[in-house]
Amino acid sequence: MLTISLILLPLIVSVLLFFMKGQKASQQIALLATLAELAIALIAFTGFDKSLAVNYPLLIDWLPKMGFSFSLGMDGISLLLVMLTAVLTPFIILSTFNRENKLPASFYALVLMMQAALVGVFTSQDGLLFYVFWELALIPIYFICGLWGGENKVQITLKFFIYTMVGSLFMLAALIWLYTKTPAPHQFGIKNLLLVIPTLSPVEQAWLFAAFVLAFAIKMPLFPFHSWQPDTYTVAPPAGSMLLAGIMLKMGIYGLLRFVLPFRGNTLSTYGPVVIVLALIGLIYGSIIAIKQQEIKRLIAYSSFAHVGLMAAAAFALTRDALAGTIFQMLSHGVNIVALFFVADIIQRRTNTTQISELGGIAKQAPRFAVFFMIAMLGSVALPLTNGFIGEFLMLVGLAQYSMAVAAVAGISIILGAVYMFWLYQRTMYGETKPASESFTDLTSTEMLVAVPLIILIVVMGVYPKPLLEIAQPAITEILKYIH
Amino acid sequence: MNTFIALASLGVITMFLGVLNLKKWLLPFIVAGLAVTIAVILPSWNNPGNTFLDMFYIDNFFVLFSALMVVSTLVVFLMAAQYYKGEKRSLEGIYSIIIFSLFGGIMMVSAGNMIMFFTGLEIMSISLYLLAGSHKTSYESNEAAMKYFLMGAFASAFLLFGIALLYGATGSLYFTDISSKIAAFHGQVPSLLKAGILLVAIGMAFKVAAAPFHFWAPDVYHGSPTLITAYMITVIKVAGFAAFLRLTMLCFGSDTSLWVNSVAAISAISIVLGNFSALTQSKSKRMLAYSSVAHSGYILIALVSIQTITPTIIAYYSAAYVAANLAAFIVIIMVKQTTGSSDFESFNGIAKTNPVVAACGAIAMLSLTGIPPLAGFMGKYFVFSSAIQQGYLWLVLIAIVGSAVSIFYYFRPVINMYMKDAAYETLKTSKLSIGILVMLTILTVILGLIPGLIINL
Repeated sequence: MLTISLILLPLIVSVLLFFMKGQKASQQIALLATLAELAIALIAFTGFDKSLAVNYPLLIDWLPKMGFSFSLGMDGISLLLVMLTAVLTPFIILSTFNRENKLPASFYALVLMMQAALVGVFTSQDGLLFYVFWELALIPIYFICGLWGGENKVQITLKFFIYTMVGSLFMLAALIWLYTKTPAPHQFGIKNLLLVIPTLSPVEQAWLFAAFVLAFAIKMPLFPFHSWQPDTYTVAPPAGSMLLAGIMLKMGIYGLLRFVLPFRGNTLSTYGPVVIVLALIGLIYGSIIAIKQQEIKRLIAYSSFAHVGLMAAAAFALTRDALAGTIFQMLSHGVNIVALFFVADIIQRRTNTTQISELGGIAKQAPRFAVFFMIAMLGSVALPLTNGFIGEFLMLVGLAQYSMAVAAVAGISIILGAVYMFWLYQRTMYGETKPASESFTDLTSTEMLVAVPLIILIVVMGVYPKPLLEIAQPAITEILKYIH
Repeated sequence: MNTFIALASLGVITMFLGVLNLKKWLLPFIVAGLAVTIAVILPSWNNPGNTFLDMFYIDNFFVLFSALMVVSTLVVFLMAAQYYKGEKRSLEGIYSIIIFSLFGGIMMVSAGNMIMFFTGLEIMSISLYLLAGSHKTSYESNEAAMKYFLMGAFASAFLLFGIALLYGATGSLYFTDISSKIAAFHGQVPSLLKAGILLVAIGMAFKVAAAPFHFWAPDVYHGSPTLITAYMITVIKVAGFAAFLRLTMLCFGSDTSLWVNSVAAISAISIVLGNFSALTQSKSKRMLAYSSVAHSGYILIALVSIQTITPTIIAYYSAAYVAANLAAFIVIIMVKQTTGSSDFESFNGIAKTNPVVAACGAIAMLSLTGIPPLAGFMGKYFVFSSAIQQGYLWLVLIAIVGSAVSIFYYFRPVINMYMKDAAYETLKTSKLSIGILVMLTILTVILGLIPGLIINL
């Protein structure tokens, strides 16, 4: 019941919003809906029972004849990602307050529809249902970027759409393939599908592995499937970038954990390193490109590309620490990237530019903003006592257990990450005040409503990560059981 | 048999209504008549009727597909109210010919004998040649009629020759007899029979506009009056596929190896040619024509991987396809009546002038692309799933590439509707056409969410 209400609430409000007009009313309804969603998610969080394999299960017949059902439920990983979605969406909506939007009601309707689809992806226990939500999430974000985006939005969003859709279609073929190999009568439950994998021939396994990894690699994105990402993040409206980088990207990693890691034995040990190498290339490549960027949003996009590479590599290290780190980093990265895109949005709104060369000396004008930016940045470069540190530290430990060389490369990237972030901060916040940033006003009270909770999240998660880490443990054990 | 009597008398009375100067009552009468026809069809569900010495089969298959065809025709007639608004000339001729072609289509779907099958097909086709040219003053409409007639006659000749060869090889025209004769050959099939089956398959591929026998489709679909195109691309397509399915199940099903490779090839070529040709079109009707070629390819995949559930899968796919296409054509008719053209540019900015129309049009396009949770996705899923089960992974992979390509052209009207500015104040719409449009859209969503509505039948 709890799980379905997490999906239905935003969906119903979304449908209602499509018939509304007016900025104020729709904003408030959307915000209220997401806060209610957060409350439900918190209830789910407090009532979570770690001893159960699947919490809050729900099973409704969909089409029993074809073996698929409307089956929802949460394990630790699902719960954490649902929490991430529920926590971030109110901030994403708050961040758009005081901003003139055309068709505001439709905008918020699409954001809520996106939230419903994301929760659906993270809680589906049925393969086809997972696919339906997976694709459903693409529609609202396509329209958010296509209708409210910047220059060249039509081509860029279409490229994004086709890129991800192609990957997903191969995933669909892989899912159907697994489904046809389940014992008759065929079942589409994710559990049933995963049990089939070890019974397949190595060649079949390799192809399925490729199909799944392709879909998830495009979504994250991993090198060399990332060419859609910087353009899309830049052209998207701020709320769109936050949804894309903050939550949607996690769909890819979630998919890896859910569908790819259970390829045990030879397949994983043969082809896993390929993914690790691609992830490491992306990690270094993304970091270096980020250093060269002249535009804030592109820089954040490439930093996200680098971070996600580290998460993917750590997922394939297949140790308990690495997996815990990956899961924790999904949450921290979500919070940090939303904070960073919010920073970019504020700069854009105040100065009408995001070119780094045109900015400077903002810290003098806006000390509170400088503090917010500083903490978001520190979280992103993984300073101890921030949330980024916990995730990256655990991932590095896990990678070192897997291979020292890999850990060394990953370590370099963290240094590079510090380079581009600090340099960005230095060039925009310090130095002489450029004309564009002369009349930079400090954070307004609505903006503080977003900034302060994000700061608190960054610090609290960094100081006391234990409850979050513990919730994920049984699910990690489950994954490792598949592997060994 | 009651169905045929109902439809035939409906057509004849429609003609006389025009003569008696009761034009106002034409459409209401036809709609009521079609509703009666549906009421006559439905009781045959799980209650097979008289077969008239195996000439007809009035079974569940018949009920499923003929009900779908009659309902779609009914929607087409509801669309006619807006399409022919303010039309001076008398319309009873066009309307009755539509009903006669529906009669032919249903006859073809229910046939159990090659002669019945061919007669039904010709009644349907000859009516369509007339309909394609029903816009007498339009150059394009005349061209469409001519092309359609020449190519259609050609296809009919193929089909008839194939039937003759089948008769020569098996000594019978009854589907079940032919089937048992084919089985009796135990794989040692005479080449006469092989040639016969191939010719029949080619003839059918012509009729359902599957590549490489689709060359008539874009010109005919583009040139015919838009309402007639909507009718052809939905009802006639469904009739063609139902008949094709009936043939393969009852007649050629006893030895699938005879035709399955050819049909698989036709399917693959249709998907590739249909999708890639649709890419470069700038006119919405031509785009939908090529898209319908691609969809023929997808449905043929289901035919290739034939199993007991295939009829319901094809019925589901057809329902999804019909709902989306009819919705698209309602939008096209509105656009064409407002701007005088059906090019993609004419779709600019509909989201701002008529948001409901734009939303329905966009959902129709998304459904045709195969985006969940819409009916078009579920249709594709069932087809892909049955193909993979039967070992046709390569066909599915081709279909996946085709689907990816299709995003480009299905999204063009969506992009124009939502991301460009309109050149006019508002579309010419009517309450009735918006009502049907919304109903079709709701149907697309509901069928997608609850596929069991048709699959569990």
